Amino acid sequence: MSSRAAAKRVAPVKRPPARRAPAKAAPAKTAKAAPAKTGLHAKVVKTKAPARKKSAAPKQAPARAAARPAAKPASRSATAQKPAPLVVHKSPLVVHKSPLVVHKSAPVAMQRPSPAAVARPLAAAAAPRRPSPPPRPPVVAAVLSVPKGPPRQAPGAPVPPPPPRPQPKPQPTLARSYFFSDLREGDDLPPLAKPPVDRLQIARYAVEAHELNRLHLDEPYAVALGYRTIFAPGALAMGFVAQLVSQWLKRGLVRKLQARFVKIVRPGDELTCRGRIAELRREKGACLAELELWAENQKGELVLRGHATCELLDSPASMPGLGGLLSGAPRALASRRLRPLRKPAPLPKKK
Amino acid sequence: MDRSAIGRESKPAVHEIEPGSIRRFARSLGEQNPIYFDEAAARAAGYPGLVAPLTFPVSLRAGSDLRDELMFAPGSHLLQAVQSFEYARSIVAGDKITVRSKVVEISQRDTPTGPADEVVLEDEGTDAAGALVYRARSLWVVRAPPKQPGTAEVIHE
Repeated sequence: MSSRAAAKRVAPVKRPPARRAPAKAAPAKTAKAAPAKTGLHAKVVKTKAPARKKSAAPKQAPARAAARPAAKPASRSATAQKPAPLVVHKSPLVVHKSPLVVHKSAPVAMQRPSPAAVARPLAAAAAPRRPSPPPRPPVVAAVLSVPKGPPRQAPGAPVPPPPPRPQPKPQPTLARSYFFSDLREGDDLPPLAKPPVDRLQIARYAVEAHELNRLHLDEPYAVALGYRTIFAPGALAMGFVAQLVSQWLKRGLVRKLQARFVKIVRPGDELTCRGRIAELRREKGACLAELELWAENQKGELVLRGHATCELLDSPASMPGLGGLLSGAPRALASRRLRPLRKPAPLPKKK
Repeated sequence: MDRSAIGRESKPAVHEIEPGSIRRFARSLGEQNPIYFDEAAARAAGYPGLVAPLTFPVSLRAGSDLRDELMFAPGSHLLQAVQSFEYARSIVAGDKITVRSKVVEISQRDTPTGPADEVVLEDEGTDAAGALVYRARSLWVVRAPPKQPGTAEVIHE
């Protein structure tokens, strides 16, 4: 029963990629987005595959394939060539062991492809980002190339991941700005994979957010109330999603941010925050992007669902020098006045 | 649940936003963005000072916690299900923000485990000039202890 419930709960997470499929078919976009996503996609499939129900799997497969056409061929070719590296590794051994035989039958030696020749196409398929990868089995190479953070941070980290988990380096905010005219509805935000939430982080966040509820700090108390362990304040996961938004937005103003906490986040949970552009519109001269946001845990369960309204700069031409958002930016992006509420609008009911 | 609490307002509280509290809050979230840690980086990004993360207002509490004054069945507890923010501008270090809280709504909702009470609180933060900086709303569900352990994992669907 619980597994079916879990599968049902996962459904909203899956829906956005499926709906997005037609938009993704645009060739220019796929070419741009595919390489960055390959690794994460491979990771998600790997981690989720055992948990997913059989009936859901075939339905998902075509949608995923359509949504990420470039990701599939890469992994498929990698698995198809799996035996190749074994031959490569073995052949030098044969040469070393019986040099006489090799010398006698020169044509055989000629036919044998050089290790470098075999490794080159293999390397191109398995790890396109590395210029000269060692000839190792593609499965290992695929695991090594899985980016732990958002794809855009991957090139910044030159060293291979240290044992526990690589901390992405702080990135300068001005590296890149998004402009309204560059965005398209249905585009994905680069996902944000957070390190596992641990008890220290829960305690620290509860203190910093002044949320000194014993449910977040006192395990026997939480257990007595029916929870398995202490759990994180819901706003912690919302903070992660806000991080995704602000990392993506760079310069721009978040006007609204809303989150519904669907499932409890417990110590050890590893959250991945995702988002996509649900709508782009112009309103009274302002360029607005509606973002659909969600977070899922390591089991692929939906933990949080939310949305954000962001105001962006129209195009590079509309950005005066390096003036920035709050000084010298277009008036539409400067601080605005919130309307006083006469009668409070009800919070959105369950979707 | 006692619906007479609707409209009840808290005492205001004044928060002087210090760079240290912004940094600590950002660190507790695992933030890496330098605009939350380094004033020069924040200024370079166009902010007038060290800027606070988007969810920072959750740490700004009103003068009294309205949740403590709500009356509900003994043994029950509150669990947050929704949080929303509207921003007029970013909060930066040096701001002096006055926070007021209000009970906006108390309602009942059908859940798989029976009807559950919900409370909506609204916080408003105004700056020294009296302009509204943000408005935050939170929805809290009154949870009775579940019959079976482990069934309390789902908050809101």
